[in-house]
Amino acid sequence: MMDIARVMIWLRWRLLANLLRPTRKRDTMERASRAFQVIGPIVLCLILIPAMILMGALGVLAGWFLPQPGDFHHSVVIILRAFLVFETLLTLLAPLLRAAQGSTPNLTRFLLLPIPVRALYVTETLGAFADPWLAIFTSAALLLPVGLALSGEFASAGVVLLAGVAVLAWMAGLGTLSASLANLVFRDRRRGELATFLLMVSLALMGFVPGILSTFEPSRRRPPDTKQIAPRAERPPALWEKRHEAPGWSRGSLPAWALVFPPELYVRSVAQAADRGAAAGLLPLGPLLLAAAGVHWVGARAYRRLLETPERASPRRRGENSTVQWPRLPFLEAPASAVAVAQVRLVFRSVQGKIQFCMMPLVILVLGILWLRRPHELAPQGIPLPVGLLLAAFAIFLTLMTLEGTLLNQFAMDRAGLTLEFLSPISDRDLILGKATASAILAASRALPGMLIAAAVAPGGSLFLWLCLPAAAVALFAVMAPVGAILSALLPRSVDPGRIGRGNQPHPAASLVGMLCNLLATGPVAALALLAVLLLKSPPLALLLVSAWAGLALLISLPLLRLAERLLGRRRENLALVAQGR
Amino acid sequence: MELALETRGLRRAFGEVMAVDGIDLAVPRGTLYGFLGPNGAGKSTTIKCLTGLLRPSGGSMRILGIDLEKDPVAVKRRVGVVPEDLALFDRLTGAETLTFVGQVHRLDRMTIRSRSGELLELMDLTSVADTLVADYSHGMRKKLALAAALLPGPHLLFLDEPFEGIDAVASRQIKDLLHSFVRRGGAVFLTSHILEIVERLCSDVGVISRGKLVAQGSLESLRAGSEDGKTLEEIFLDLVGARDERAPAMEWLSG
Repeated sequence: MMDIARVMIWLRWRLLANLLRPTRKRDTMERASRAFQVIGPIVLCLILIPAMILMGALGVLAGWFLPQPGDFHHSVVIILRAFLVFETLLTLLAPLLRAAQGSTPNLTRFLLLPIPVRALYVTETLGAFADPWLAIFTSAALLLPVGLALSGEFASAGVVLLAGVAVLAWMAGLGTLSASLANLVFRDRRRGELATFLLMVSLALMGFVPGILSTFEPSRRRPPDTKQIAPRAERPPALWEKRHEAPGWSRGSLPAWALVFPPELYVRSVAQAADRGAAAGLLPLGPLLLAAAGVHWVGARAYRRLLETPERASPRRRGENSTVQWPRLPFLEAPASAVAVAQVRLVFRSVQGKIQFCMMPLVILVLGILWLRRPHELAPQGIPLPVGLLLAAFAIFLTLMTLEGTLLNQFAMDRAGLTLEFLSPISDRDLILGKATASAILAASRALPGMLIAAAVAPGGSLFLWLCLPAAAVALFAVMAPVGAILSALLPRSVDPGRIGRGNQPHPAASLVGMLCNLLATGPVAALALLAVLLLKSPPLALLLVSAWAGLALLISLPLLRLAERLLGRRRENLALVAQGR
Repeated sequence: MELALETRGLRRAFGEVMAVDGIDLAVPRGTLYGFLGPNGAGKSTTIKCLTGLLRPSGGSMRILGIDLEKDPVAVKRRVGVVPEDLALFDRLTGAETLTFVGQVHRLDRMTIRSRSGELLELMDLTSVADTLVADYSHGMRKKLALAAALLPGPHLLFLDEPFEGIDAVASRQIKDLLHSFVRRGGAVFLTSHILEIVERLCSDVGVISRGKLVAQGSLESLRAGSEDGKTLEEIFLDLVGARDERAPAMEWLSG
């Protein structure tokens, strides 16, 4: 078992270290780009070590102070509870989000080797301790008993150490169980994409609900009829209530389920051991150990199922429509038009594309509702512009931000399809124009519904100012389209369109530069519009100025497009390599 | 003799490693040319240079009489390629892939429709024409890539391991199709590790070893230059200098 664990640790280390090894097929730019991508994990490692030391020190301090008289226990317990709830949520959700991002483990190679399933399960579970949140809790949980021992409570320290090991085992088991279940769902492409879509939309909706609920004024709620409520009679506590009565450090009662929630059992074990002695601390330890054993029993079975069931795709959708009607876009050569149509289809079929298409109108709608319910509180101070207009402008800005994934990685996102484009008679210019057109279509498909909703929710304002918006959009896009093409050619990143998050993000350096360019491009447009409206008080002049700027931006875009074309020609080899994930 | 493909001193280096070292290829029209070589000999690099995926470090390439470096788009209009990695969009359906290829080759709608139908039928892909390529098996992808290469009606086909992962029925049909393509004046440049296929299918052969072209010509001429009765495998092993190489005994491999 130890040999296998050692080999697995070595394997992880080599896979990480080899990311930095240069390969002869990559050029200098590509090597620098890859080095930039591994900076994140390296920085995380560098932060993690001091964080673990700090948490360990805090654990020792907490252990030292827990048995001391005073109010300190109460604060420690509250912090510990909150921390453990946060830990549990992360342990449960992280594997789901990881699977949604496409980082599902490739277990086939291990299955072909003579490694017992039990050893694989143990390795997987031990791997959970490499997660930053579990790593820092581990140092705190293992050093808290040291503090207790230093304060002279040796027996209690032993109990707390046992409880710490039990809760850590429970958390690691929970992580492996969650990961196994997530991988069982996400191993099928279609099922995984649907689950990702539902997960992201649910998380986003859960974020909106508190905002909408907060707009309901408390005065509108029906006040309780205090006269009819009879005063609650004081009664002596029942025997079972007495048994679970919290000690002095735990004020306020907890729901019944919390008493069997393993992190709460750990907290009670720690607090009771410190407060009433080792024997009291042993009471919650029993159920905690049972919970840890239970989660590993279920987790091991789920893991075995993951290994033993074949990776099976959903049944193929059958259809005999051997010809497809693709529109030929006006003003474009046939190859550029085909590139644009293909790109639009690819993005709409990606999970991220679907989420962004659905979320944009929803975000504007929620903001509109918030404004309708509390117009005075949410109206922008100092800007005499109608809210509908500001919302529509925000929809344009947000569109450009969400378009980042497509715009800043427009070549590599085609994956093997990019090789097909390079093998086809498509000139660099047609490829650039096709991609830019696709981005424009995608931008319009996201911004237009948002703008229409903004106009419907909060109409009003000068027509000239409303007409400024399309002109502003053209001005922004004219700058961002060639910038996107240049960054896509310089800093490609292999992505999986079926996933979300990091697995489908452009290169971090491209994102950073793209965001700066986006802000720089927005600056002149906003400045011109505000100058005309606030200082010169003339909406028609605002339209004139923004349109003039849009014309200028289009002129600026021409040499930039030519530069992008030249860069694409030079970087074809590396683009094809990166797009295929090599 | 009119050449479909001609290179002069073609070179490609990766850093200090010369993957392709000055090769002179000559593929006549109307031939099925098998390009052979051991692993790492430079086959894939050569085919990538010939299809415009890699820029050569030196030398010249003329494909169907056109200088590839001067007018790559004109060359690509006349050739079809099935590369090593198949080069397909995961999220287009089979039918959409063919439509895309047809449109970038500026074919009209009716032509795309009729050719797509015929090719999908030939490759037995009609029933999955509406399925995303991401859901295709390897063999189906290979057949779709071949259909995409054939759709524009090319004069020269580059096929990298075309029969790998293809079932016997489709393999037979593809062989027939390639023979009829060649009879009509087309040329096929294919790589394969299965020497029997090359021996039965190809009229001409080129052998590359350590980046250098060590032999080229018709199968008959190669056989004539060697001892009587030698198979292509034996000739190949002689050419790449592996004739006397035998697997080490490895007595621990007792079974």
